Amino acid sequence: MLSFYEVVVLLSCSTCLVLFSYIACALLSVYRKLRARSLLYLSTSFLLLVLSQASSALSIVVESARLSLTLYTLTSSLAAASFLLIVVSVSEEERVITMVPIVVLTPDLLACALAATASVLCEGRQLRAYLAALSMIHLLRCFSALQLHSDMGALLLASAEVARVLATLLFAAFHVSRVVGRE
Amino acid sequence: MIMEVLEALDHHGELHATELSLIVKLSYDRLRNILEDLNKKGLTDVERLEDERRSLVIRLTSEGRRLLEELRRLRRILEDYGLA
Repeated sequence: MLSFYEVVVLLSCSTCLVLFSYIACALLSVYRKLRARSLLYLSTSFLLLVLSQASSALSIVVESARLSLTLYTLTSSLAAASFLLIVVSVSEEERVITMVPIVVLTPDLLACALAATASVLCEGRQLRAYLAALSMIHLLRCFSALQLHSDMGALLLASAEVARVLATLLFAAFHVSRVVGRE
Repeated sequence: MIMEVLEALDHHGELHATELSLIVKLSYDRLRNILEDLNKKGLTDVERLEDERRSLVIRLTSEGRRLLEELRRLRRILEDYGLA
């Protein structure tokens, strides 16, 4: 028996699947006549979103925990592949420029994921809080990297930097305090 | 750009290549490449007139008109992605 949460997610995924399929088919139909590469990329990106939604729906209904986890991971991998194709289709002539934010935000994304993982694995309550805060700050830096062309992006980056410096200072002071004065 | 070419041809019925290049604000060379491509795909029909200048007259085929209808349906989404 499915829970209310599962039913809501399943219904949303199924609806998205139908809607994305409709867009993918419409784009593919135009691509068949025009043979423009950017249209192929865009339609494929919507097809990947269809697969991502299917994978998300299946991850909820399958019995096996392993299979469910695999499908859950596949959901984001397919979505990431789709977004990459959107980047390629939109900016074939300006690929170098669009790659800049990706290059800039990749280390921050990795730092965010690793700090979040460390915060789950560590025991100390304060340490977990610092690591979780650092993780969020790196996520904020990712957003700012994507908005660098606007004032909002500069404001976000400045806020994230101030928060990161303060959090790192507290993080360092916390570690020192755990060592100094323990005699 | 392709959509603008198709729209111009649909709006005017038929156009000389030079008129079309003025309407869509494209150099003649670039327009010629697009037209060759559209012609190969059967979306436009190009006729060379037997006048002194042997100028080209371009029309949309029925297949081109059908494609334009589909493109119009997708126009907003294509604009959002910078493809129209």
